[in-house]
Amino acid sequence: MPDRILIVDFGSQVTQLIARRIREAGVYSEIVPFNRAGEMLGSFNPRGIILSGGPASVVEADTPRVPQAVLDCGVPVLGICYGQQALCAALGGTVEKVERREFGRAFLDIAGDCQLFDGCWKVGDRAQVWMSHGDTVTALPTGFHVVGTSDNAPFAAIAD
Amino acid sequence: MVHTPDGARLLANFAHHICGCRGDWSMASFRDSKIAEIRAQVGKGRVICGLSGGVDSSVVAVLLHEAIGEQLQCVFVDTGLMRADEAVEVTSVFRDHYNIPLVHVDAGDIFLGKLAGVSDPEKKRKIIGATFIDIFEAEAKAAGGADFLAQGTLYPDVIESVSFDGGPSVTIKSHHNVGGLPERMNMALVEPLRELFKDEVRALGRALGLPEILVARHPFPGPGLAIRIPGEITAEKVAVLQRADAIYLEEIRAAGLYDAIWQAFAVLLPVRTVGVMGDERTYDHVCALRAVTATDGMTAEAFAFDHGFLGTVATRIINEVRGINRVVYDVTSKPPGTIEWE
Repeated sequence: MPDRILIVDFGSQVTQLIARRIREAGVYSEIVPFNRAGEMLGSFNPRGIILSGGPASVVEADTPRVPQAVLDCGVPVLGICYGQQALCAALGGTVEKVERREFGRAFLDIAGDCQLFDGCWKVGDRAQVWMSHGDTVTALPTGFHVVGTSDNAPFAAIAD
Repeated sequence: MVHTPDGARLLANFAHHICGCRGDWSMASFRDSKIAEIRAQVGKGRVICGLSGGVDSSVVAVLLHEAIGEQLQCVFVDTGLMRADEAVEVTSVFRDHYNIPLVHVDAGDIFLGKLAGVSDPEKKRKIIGATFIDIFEAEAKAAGGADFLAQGTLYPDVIESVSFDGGPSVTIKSHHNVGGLPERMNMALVEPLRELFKDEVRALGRALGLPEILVARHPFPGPGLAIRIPGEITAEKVAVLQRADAIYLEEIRAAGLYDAIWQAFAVLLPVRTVGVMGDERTYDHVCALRAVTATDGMTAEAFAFDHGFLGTVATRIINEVRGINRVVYDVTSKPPGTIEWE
């Protein structure tokens, strides 16, 4: 069976692009809506999970949450945008609405080493990225450290 | 997203370095597993496949032919909404190149009749979807029955039409062959490409040995020129648009720009404006030209022709096509716009 990555969809218009890029890297990927991720995990058996962005806000009450099965699965999890925020909230960090949102082109200052940055970014680099958020992480979950910051997101990229 | 330049690298690093995945998934392996899936799904049944001449349906047809051979019947429905000479091109490519049985259904009058008076883009797509399926059922019956209908539905069609399995993704517009399908359908669907993006389909086409000229063809929508004529559709408007579009594409090919562009087409607007030709006042339609670059159709940017080129095209169109006296160029990127106008 080929190695595979599962992408958990929180409703972003561009979730498919994540699948696209993973496949271009020669790894099969599939997308599952967040509310069916738990049932899919056992049979799909991914080597890694990516949590997508989405239009909702973790700060509000009845919005999507990271399924417990994802938190318990034991494989690496990458949270992007809403995915990052939902993961932080689930692991004890804090997410808040902010006055200064970031939409469109932004810059990420690399503050720490991370395998995610292998071969492209190193500490001290200023990388161009694309952001679209009105909430931001304001306190880290235990065990995480900051690897990248932007003008309006002090915890733009974090890792454990 | 495409616009974070290093995004692909970050994701590859996650998959390879952090998750330890090998990078051995490819179109060749997809083709093998998909052929097995098709055989399992179809069994001894008969499949009827809609052929449009576009790369999607061509790849579906060739893939199906490899999987189930004689159990496949291809049908080319000429909707009357295709580009100039396209019908002839489609039938000659599949009769000369491949040994795939092809029925050509000339249904222009039917489609135009059903679309008469309809302006709403969603309604147009649903009418075209429904009419298409009606004609297919009729063809399938005439051919002695079919258990499955094959279609070249792609991933971008799925994400833009269906609120993802009840998840929160917002519907943008229905696609003629997904959200536009009516409930009553007497055949099961075979959509072997619905997990693939456009450039993955092209790669698959190459892996199947399809000729480059077919594989590298720009995407053309199923509803055809119906979604390039905002407002009501008439046979006259279709003819005017066909001529303008043919000139535009001719100039693009002559300038060697075809392969640098993802998709290019003309749109006939219901707007009429004033012009002057030979000292006489004219009052005719505006033609909008569209050309975009994109890697997979989910995001796109307007192609930057130099102004000399657009001027040349505009002059030709206005001179040669009765019914158009003004040409404009669409500079909207996707998002916030879409590539097509409807």
